[in-house]
Amino acid sequence: MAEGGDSADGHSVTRSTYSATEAGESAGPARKIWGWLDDRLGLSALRYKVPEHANTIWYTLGGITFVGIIVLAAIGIWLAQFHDPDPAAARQSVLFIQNSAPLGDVVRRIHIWTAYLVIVTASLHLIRIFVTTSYKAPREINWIVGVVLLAPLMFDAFITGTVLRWDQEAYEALAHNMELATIFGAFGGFFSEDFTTSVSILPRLYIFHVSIVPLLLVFFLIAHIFLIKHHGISPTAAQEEAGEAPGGRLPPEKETGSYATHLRKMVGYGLVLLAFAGVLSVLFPQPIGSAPDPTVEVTKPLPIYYGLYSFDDCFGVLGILYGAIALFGLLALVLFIDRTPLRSIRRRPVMLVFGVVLLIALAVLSYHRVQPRRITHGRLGTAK
Amino acid sequence: MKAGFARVGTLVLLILALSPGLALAHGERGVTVEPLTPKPDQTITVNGELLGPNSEVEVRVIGNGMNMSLGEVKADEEGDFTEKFRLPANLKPGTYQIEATGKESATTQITVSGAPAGGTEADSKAGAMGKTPVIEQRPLGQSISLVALFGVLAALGLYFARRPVRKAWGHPTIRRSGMQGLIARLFRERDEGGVAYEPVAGARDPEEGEA
Repeated sequence: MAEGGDSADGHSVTRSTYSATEAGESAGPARKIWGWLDDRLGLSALRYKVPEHANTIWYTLGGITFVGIIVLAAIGIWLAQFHDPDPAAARQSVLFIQNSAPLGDVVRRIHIWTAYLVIVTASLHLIRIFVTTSYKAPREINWIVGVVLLAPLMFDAFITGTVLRWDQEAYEALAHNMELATIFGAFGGFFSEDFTTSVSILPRLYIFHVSIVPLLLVFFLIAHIFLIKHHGISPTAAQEEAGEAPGGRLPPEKETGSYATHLRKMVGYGLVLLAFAGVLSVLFPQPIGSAPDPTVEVTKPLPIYYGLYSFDDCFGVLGILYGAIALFGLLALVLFIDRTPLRSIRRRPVMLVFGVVLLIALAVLSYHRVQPRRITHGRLGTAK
Repeated sequence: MKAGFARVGTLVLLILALSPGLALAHGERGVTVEPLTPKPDQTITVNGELLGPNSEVEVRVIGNGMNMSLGEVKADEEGDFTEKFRLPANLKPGTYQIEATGKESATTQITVSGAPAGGTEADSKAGAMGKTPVIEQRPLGQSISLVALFGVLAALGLYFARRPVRKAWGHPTIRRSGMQGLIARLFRERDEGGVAYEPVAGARDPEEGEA
């Protein structure tokens, strides 16, 4: 049972090395429990080596995002016990969560703020990868998987999560969703009200929010984590340029950190994220708006990542589609634009300008969208 | 060259595969309504397509025990029409089918919400569908306590993430027991001081497991 093996690439694969019995009769109860658990769950396998820099905050952002997603799922389970997606009862159930459910107001707000913060940490994680060139060979596919992961995450926060509140902003988000669905024609059918008359669009979006998107996230997260494990934590730009990482991975003798530390930092900073969301939820409660009025559009979404909606002002609802295609398309194009072997961001002026321009564009669009506006129209829910 | 043909071929196949779906997106029989979440007594615009050339189309609202005609309209030579109808004032909140029947028939779904469109201000402020929802605020003391609680959680998280590992915990000759030992073993780190407890004789330390 005391085994530690090496994989084909020379990186250690450790299994349980200690057991309660082997640890001796004098072992304390905690050690015995640990040994018992370790034998059965292989927890020692988490002690594998990683590069030292993997345990810095910048290389822990992905893990913090992962913990945030777990928090969202856990809180979501609680909220689901009180939310009724039936259109006639949805708003009443949201108000029940807010006013009557045990800690419902706090939990609901933490759910929303955690979603915002997870988008922020995911974006910072993406920026870190961009700056440290971790998307280069052999990690190109994982970059794409990460970009794809961002899409359902944003979709759940952008549209489905907002719609479930079933107030004015929710109605407008639903209207945007349905307009986009109509634009997609046959491919948008699943999201459109015409897809079926047996179930209203609101329960179907609820299913999307609590079931389909989480399943997609799980699927892509498994792929993402598997590829990280397969390729190892990426070396720093300096290590790459010094030729210390042949094949894009540090040799085992230079991986001097421990994944146990990484895991601890993930959980620790994840708790900080949760606490921060909690404080924000008390200081800046997420309001529940008025009942939907289909004749006006008054939504003024939060900044942070709502820059995409600025395209809506310029091009109508199609603009959201253009914005999403532009953002995700540019992120995918990074692989093809940056073909140099250089790693340091200072030596990649084109990519530096590319990244800065993208960030400034998002910031300007977000600021533009935050400005107050009131549009009166009667076309919500249709595509022209 | 072959790769180029393969790409073009794949593209053509994709377009051919998707074209039936695209064709269905246009010219389908159907009916649409706006707004999709009207109030009782509100005027809705019903648009029908391909319900039979020049046919008399009857529009009905069906659901929640109600099956009522909203009116009739004459379709054009393609079977299309657009007409405004007023919903009954006594519709209860809920989901209804709007059925348009000419020579052909089609239905769609609306969700009726709230009080009648012309309701009083008092009506509109009351209940879940009111313009101004009633939100109960937590007392200030509870809010302060919550912030303090989250502050403690953040401090715990920071300590957990950044705590320095005492060298003694990781010294191979010092045995720890109880919770301290468990934590040491859980988060034993090679980069922070080596093994935290004694290895079994003859066994390889997982941290030293490289061949």
